[in-house]
Amino acid sequence: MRDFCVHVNTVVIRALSLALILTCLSLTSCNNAVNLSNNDPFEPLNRTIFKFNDALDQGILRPTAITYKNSIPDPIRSGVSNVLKWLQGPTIITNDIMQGDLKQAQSDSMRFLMNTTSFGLIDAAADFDMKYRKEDFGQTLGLYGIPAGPYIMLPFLGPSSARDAVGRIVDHFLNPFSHIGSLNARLPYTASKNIMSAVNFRAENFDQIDDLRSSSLDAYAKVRTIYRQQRQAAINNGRVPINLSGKGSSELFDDHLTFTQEKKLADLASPDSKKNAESK
Amino acid sequence: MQSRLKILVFFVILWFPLTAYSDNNAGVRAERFIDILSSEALKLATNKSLSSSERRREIAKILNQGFDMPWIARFVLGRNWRLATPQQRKEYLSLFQAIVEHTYSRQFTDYSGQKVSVLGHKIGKRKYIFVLSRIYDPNQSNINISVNWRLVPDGNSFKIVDVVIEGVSMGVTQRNEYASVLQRNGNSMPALIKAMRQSLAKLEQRG
Repeated sequence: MRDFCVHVNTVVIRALSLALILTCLSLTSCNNAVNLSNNDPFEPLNRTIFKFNDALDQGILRPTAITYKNSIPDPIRSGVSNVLKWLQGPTIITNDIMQGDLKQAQSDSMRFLMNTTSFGLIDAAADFDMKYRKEDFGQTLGLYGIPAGPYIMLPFLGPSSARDAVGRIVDHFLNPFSHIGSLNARLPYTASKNIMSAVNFRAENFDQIDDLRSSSLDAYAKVRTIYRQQRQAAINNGRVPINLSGKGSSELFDDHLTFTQEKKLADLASPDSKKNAESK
Repeated sequence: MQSRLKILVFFVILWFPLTAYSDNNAGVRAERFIDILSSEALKLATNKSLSSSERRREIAKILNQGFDMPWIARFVLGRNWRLATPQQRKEYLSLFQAIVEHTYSRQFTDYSGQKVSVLGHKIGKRKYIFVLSRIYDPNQSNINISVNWRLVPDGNSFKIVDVVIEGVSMGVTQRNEYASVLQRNGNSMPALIKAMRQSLAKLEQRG
């Protein structure tokens, strides 16, 4: 057991130092205002992995999600979704504490204990206004001021960043559920948990994902910016106005305002093109 | 001297609530604006008797009343707007409008009883006003989506210039997507317009 703890510690330390190195690397490439901090130095590789993930989705995940949606009754599916959230409980509480949000930690602990009575199947705590809110180590690092770093498309797992990928590893080790049972039992547990999460996520967001896929001019770029913005919002816990790291979206709107004020509307759009757009 | 001071104090006291009131007033009016706009939109969404083209026409009406569409279209194109020729701008603007109409008319068909509640407002830097709202579903407690509206004053009323859903700005998202298409095609406007046409054709096919 002691050996194991030492092993975990070295893994965590290694992961953290990797995070520091990666973020230091990324800081140098951060000042790209025109790109709205896409910060995607591995774009060609990322696009290849995105294509692979997309093929996986179309070939396996999407059909599985359809079967799952159609053959499993609603209450069981929401039970599965609840258990998956419940399993994250300890990670969320630990990150609440690391973020210095003790009130949230208290509420999330109550939530976890309350839902433990049904092994997470029934989200009773939500009725007492203790709703699920995901906190992870990537967000904690973000709150500490560590930038997201280069965008990374992970095979099977989807969009991430240097910071958030390290966060994932740390979260895995922070969660006591990852250490229960024999070593042989852990891999199947983690694998089945991840597969269930993927199917559950795809089924819950079925139409949105299909829409995004079919209506995009560049689905990869769209997923990238949505991921970046969502992560920033999660770090801010939903406070407005949102700011992306680097060039903030608010400044972007300000720039545009100044630009349009200077140039005047008439100069920008010839009157007939404006009329055309409005009459459509 | 003392009476002068009194007068000064009087005016300062009078002035503060007045300024606070006028600021508040714009915010409250903006909240009201979103309230009316969203109830109009919900009325449209619940009206299942409309054909898809009728619905799209109604959506276009709401979009042009409530949103500064040409401004949004230019924002999405960013600095590339300046590089486009008048003909390209014209084509871009009409394609942009059509794509937005089709995208939202699709969202309207999926509607199943969700409601909008306006929570408050924030006066931003410059002349922006944010109206904060939530979309919730009375039948499903787990649906509770934060939707924030970025408004600019427009005469006596307002125009929406951006919608931020769960922290994701629609304007910034589309801007990044279009920037990527342009970047991958050597900043060629015809390539973007071609991609937009293909996207619109797909949307039209879907109905």
